[in-house]
Amino acid sequence: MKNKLFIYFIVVHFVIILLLQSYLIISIEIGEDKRIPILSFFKENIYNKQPLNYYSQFSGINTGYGFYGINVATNKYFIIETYKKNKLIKKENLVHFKTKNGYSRFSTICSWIYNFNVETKELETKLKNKKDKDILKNEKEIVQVIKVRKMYIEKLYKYIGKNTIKTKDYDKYIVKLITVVPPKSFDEVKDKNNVYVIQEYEFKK
Amino acid sequence: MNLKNKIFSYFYNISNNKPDYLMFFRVSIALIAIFDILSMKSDFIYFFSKDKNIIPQELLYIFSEYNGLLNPMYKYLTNNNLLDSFYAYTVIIYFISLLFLMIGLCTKVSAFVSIVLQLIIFKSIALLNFGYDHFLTMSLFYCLIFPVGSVNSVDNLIRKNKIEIKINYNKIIRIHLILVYFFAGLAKIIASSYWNGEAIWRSVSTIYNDMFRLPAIFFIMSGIATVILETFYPFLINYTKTSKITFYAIISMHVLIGLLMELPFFAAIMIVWNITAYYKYIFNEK
Repeated sequence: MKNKLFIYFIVVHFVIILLLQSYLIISIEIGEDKRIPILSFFKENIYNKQPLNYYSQFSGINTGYGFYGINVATNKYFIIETYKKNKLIKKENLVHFKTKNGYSRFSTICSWIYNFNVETKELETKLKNKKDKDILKNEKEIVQVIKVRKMYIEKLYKYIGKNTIKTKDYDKYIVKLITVVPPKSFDEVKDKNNVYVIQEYEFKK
Repeated sequence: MNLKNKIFSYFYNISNNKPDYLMFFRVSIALIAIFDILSMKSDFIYFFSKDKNIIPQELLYIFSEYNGLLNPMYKYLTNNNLLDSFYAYTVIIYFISLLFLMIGLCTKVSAFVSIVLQLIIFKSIALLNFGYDHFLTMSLFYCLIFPVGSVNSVDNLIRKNKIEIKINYNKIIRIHLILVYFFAGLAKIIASSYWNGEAIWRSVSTIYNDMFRLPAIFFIMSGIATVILETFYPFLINYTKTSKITFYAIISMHVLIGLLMELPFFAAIMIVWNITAYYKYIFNEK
């Protein structure tokens, strides 16, 4: 009897994973705003509600498997530039970690910040276009949300810069989020990778 | 045979072989989690501490789906002056529960404590999470619901009545792997960047290496091979003539991911899942 119940539980477990993954893959392709028959209903009315939501968090199944799928991003990095009287004193990477795994772990924040900024830009675009009914209904709140999101990112940059700089003799610092530029074609002759600044913030000491 | 009977007969263990894959899964997952913590021991204080964080703790989870659970927890700890003890002992208790899991002592309890603490610790640094963390949670969850402590464990030495294993638990991992690779493959097959090599270039090129100098054929063939292997994995792994080679191809793919993308723990956990699912290919068991 116990084994039979376990099999029933496992079947339900996999049905949840199947429905969630199907929803995620289709919504990435057609857009998260579009409704998918059955799958959107499942996501909004069953998966996002308790207790299924707690179960998915506890079991770890609350993740998509399409990472490194559509729109693979380039690797991203922070560069912190320290200035005194507008003269560059030092240029350095992230906080001086003692372990490789520690550095790798913290570096994941670069991609997270990039994706968060992309979502904020999408909200701004929707607000500008004035086509989405939900956005128009809650325009004032959305404006506040965008403001808070931008302040949050600026705070992250400030903490990263402040905790990386070792020298005390500076008057300002700039934190830059950079990425490598993919080649337009593999025929391009390259001596080194081109880098591109995605975002930067300047802070006074 | 109707569908219900087909499902039951697929999972039920008929051969009654000693399922050593349960011990392998339990020990490997615990070891990976232990090594992960140990390998960043001296830096962990910058992510998870009261006042030595690079970024304040609340900013690391405020935009995650776990904020609703973590925020009240941290408020309670702060209001009751328990924050110092929390940071002092949480990682130590997590480490001990993983050790107990590894040796199979109070296995169910140690698996439960491991999941809870893994979620508390690593979701408190949600901004610093990647796919490996979700797979570790899933692995610890499977350690909780599978009888991993019933084979070659301290619990087994203490227990008078041995647990009879009647379900092929490795087939559960097989099905999960099919879902993982199929959907990962689908996401890649519709992306043009996997067919022209750009996706692989983007994944492996950094400002610290010279991978961008590799010939174009490497990026293109790697992308196409990844798409084919993952999308057609459900068919390739279940067809007798291609099953073994698919198993070794997937293992090789994860070894390369670990080396080229510097994700050794992610690669290790996926290799453990694959070996657990197809234990027979490594250990010649049925």
